Amino acid sequence: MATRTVVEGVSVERRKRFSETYLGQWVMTTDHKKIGIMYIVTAFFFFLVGGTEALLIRTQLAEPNGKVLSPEIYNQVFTMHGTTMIFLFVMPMLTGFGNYIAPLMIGARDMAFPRLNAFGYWVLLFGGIFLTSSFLFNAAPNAGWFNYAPLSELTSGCGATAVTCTSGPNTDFWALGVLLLGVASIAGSVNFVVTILRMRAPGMTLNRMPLFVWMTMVTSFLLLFALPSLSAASILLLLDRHLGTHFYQAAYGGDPLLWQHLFWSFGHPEVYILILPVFGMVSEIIPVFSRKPLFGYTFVAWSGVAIGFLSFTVWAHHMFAVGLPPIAQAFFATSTTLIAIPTAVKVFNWCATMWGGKLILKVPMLFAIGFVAMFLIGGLNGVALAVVPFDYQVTDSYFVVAHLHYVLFGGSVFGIFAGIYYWFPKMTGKILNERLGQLQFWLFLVGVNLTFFPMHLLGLMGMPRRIYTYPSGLGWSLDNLLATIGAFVIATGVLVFLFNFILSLRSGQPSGNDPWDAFTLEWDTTSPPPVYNFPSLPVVRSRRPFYDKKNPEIADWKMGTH
Amino acid sequence: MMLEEQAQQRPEPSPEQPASSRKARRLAQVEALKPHPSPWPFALAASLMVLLIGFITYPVLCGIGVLLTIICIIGWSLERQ
Repeated sequence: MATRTVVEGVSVERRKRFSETYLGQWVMTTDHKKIGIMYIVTAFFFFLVGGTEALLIRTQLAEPNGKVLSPEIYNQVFTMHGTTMIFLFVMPMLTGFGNYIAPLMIGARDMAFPRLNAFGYWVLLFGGIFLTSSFLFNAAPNAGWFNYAPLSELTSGCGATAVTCTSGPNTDFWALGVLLLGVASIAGSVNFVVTILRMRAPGMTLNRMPLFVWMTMVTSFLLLFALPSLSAASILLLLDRHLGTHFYQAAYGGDPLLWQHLFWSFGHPEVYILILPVFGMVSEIIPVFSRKPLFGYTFVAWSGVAIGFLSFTVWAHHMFAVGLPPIAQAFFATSTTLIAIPTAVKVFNWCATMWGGKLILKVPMLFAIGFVAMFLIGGLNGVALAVVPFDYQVTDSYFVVAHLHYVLFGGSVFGIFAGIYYWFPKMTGKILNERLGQLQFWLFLVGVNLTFFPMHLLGLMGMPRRIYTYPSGLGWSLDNLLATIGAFVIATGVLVFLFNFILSLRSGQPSGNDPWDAFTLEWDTTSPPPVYNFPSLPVVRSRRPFYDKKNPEIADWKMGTH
Repeated sequence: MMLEEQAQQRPEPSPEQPASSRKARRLAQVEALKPHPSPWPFALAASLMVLLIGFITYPVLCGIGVLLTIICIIGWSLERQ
């Protein structure tokens, strides 16, 4: 069965089943490629939702004493911006790419559990609808994307002390929503782990696996180990809110810090979940557009594994200002500084790959290089935050907002767009317009720096996070205005992309099967691939099996490289 | 392209085998490799959503959601793949 060659015959006329109608093909599909496309399209829709929320925030903060949004609505908007971007955009987008590309890269015909795969997608969609529909009830989550107790606590009464509470169903929407989305992520992770470990093509050892697949596997393990913490935290919160327990209520012997420990035990691995697959994407794109194999493959692969392990040891660096004992602060400061090392290893290897290569600066490569530069900035200000006395000054200020947006927008989003431009031809058989892509890239690069660099200064000048306005005369006005202008520059870039996407889909230049002269197996089939992916399953003898097939005289396995 | 090459390289079919059975075998090969569509993932996800909506709005929806979830799990388990 595994080596059987497929030969297509003449179809026999019969009545169409629902699964063969256009709607039925999508609703009932278990094909990883269709599911991947659904994940990507849904994630992009939520990117637009989260982006609109961002523009509302920036419009409110453009000038002192802003009156665009009321404080109550502002709280809902910034909470949903963070929740949407993390849970409904980046995670599903990366899952979508993993779904579409990973089985092709390993030479498999589909994922290990196709129905579980489909289930993960539909749970994501319904979870996203559930969360976003909270706006219709004027009860969107409003306690921040990390939903700290005791702010997110009680439904009625405020205990023995005067504490501001969330009495509406806002927090219930959040807690139930993330529980449901957690189910989707677990379903996907189990599938990825089994598929990658058990369904690789003959000859594809772990040492020959593409790095995007490596990072997807590490991310899946991170999800499996981190999500239970969030689920437990959410369930305890729901019990506190509805069944009279007191897990997070200090007045009754509970501890609000328990929420922070449980949440960040998920939350820090989560940020690596948001970036590791992107590391993998960039590790595929840079070698192809440098016309060289990746420098230091083994180091890049195992540094990803190291990041995975270390990510569980750093969570309390989000809590330096809560009164932890000095010994704990020292431990977490050390582990946080330590985790910068494997990340730096990757950056050095990407640069070394480009060094001496014949660089082809097409749009995927522009975004990949932009990713390296922007993520480097975010990583450096992150290491600064690992220094406890410095963190005391800037925690919960706009310095942290600058850091997280450089790594998440400059990092994840740039990498995602690199992946979109790189793999769009494989998915559609068309190529995205190069000029429009370059315009989008430069708008993004300028926009990101204009939006988020001034936030470093705002943080150092003392502007706290999550405030809905600020008075004039504090010296914050100019930087806020620049940030708002930058946000609209980014929005223009998104519109350019949308135009490019629609134009290219309708009348784009045909791409052929291998427009980039790439190295990995997904390019060794048609664009888009048939339902069975490969007419016959490939046999792999190196890390660049498709390169070997195209260049048999100088194949990697003949030259003694992997 | 590869399929055409394989078609050219394929040995001539035996005259004893009827053409219809050869076509049926080829179709069966492609059909066996296609992922089988299934309604249960969608149905189970929708049931879970009904359950969650019940937490926020009417508790009776929770009960309906639980029932639907159980039905979907049973249907999924009994589905032939």
